[in-house]
Amino acid sequence: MSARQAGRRRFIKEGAALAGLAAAAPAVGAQTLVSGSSRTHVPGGPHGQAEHPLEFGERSRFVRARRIPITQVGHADMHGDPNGYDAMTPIDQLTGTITPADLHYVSQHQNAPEDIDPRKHRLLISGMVDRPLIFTLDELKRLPSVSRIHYIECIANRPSARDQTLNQVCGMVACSEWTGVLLSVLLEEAGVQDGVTWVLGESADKVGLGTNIPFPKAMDDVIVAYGQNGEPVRPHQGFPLRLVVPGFEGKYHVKWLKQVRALDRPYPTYWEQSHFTNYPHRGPLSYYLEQGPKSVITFPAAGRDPLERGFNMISGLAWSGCGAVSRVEVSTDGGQTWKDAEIEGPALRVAFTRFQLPWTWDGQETVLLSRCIDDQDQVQPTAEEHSAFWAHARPPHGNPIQPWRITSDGRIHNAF
Amino acid sequence: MTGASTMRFSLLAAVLVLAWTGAAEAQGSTYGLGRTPTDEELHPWDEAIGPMGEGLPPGSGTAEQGAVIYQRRRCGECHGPTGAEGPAPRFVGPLQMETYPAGTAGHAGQNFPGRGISNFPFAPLIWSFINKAMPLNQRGYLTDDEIYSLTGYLLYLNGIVGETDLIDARALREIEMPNRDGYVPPPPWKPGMRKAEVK
Repeated sequence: MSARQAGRRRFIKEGAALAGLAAAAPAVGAQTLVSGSSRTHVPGGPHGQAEHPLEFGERSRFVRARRIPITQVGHADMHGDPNGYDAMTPIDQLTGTITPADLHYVSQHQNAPEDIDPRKHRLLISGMVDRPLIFTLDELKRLPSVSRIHYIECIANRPSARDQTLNQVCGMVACSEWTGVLLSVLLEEAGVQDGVTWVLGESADKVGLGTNIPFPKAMDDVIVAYGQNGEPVRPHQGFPLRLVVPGFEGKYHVKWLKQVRALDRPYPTYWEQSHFTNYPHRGPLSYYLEQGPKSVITFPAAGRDPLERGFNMISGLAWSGCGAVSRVEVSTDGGQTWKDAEIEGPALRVAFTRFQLPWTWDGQETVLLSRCIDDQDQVQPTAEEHSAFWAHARPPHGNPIQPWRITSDGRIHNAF
Repeated sequence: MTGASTMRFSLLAAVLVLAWTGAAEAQGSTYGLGRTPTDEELHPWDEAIGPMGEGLPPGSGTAEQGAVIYQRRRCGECHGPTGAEGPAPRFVGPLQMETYPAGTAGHAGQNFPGRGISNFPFAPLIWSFINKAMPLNQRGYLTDDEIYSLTGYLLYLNGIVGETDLIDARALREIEMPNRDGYVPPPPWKPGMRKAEVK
């Protein structure tokens, strides 16, 4: 029997054992993700219950912080599967620049694995290396670590005229402190051979998702993360290991990471072929990599209570996949004039950056806009510039300027 | 710590680092953590196959056999009796955009890239995905030969191979997929690249 067949048989045997386990305790994930009743919503609770109310810090019962589901059964992206689940970060409720892990958006296309036992999980570094290596989680934690704050944004996070709220316009993005080992450390331990141009990260999920990353990026700032916001990465974010590829689209940040291979060419995977290739009559389209500068005003914004006349601090979030935010400009008159907003708090590279601008609303109808300029002097495009560039490509990146129209009754509308 | 002792400490540290680096070069590893994988671990059964068939195992099948397996393994329950009906991704169809059905949240009437097998630029990657992921929630149950047969069946349904053509690693490598030119890897990436779409 070949090693490959032996591996498959072992997988089926262990999978059958796991399936039994899952059948015995089916409700934990569903309860946390879907119904999310505040009474039993216990972050990190293995059984969904705390023995004492102070064992976990719950949110106030007056705070209703929930992801917003956007999945419907039958959605083409869900493979017609009722268990597929996409849900947005409630970014209208965020303060500062960090997203709580339990509110970080999720996009689970029928692929979340069963419970992964971190004691059994392994990370394999293989391919064109002198010394293939296999690491336990404990071994990874013994290596030098980094903790860096980076946003992750789904490629599908783009405004549409149909969206009615801020969260619909811009909810598939979140920002966390990620802790782990730089991928470059692991690749150097294995000894990368000449001729390597790509690395392929692969997941232990149910469809073996994988993405290809340019080798220079892998050696630059990619993190094999085991920590998120001060605790182990949560199951729906890839426990026990997630690849964090700063500034690249969400799909690159492989959850439940089990293997990284050094290669001399990309090995296109299912999503990369089925969604990220184009058609002969439209010309070839390759992978997209890092995302450009983007910003959105989160107050005032559609989906909130009507705006009150008088003083209002305009507030929002800006980020760029290419570096740090150097400036954010805000217009309160539909783009006729622009003012520099104040950067409030840290402006780290490839991370949420909070901006604000004092404003007194006189009750007249107007349109609010913001635009991000990053440290490479790249400017967030207008809707017209954005659609002209992406006219022949799908799916486009989603960083056009977002307009909010405020009518004289104080109501706020998506004017994209 | 005084300035002098700081310097002594730095020198000592530098010497230690040099010694350590020297040792690391000899060993090839700085930290000595992790271990050499076994043969079985080195090539997991579900690792991705390369576009030119890199990693494809021995074995073969035909579309004719694949049609039988498609029935026996009940692939049609999700993909439709002929692979064209869904609701799971339809792998039969021309190169074209598909349209989200009415009632789809936020997307009704919008187009999205079709997922017909004919859209895949490399035939070995069809084998790879079936191997990794199918049948959904039961992955690992198909044998290598069964996957060759199913790959052949999907290619046959799209008019790319004949019903009795032998499908093996070599055949998959040599098949010229209709969307081969629809895929290009991006130009070399380096840190600090500017985006093409912004000013």
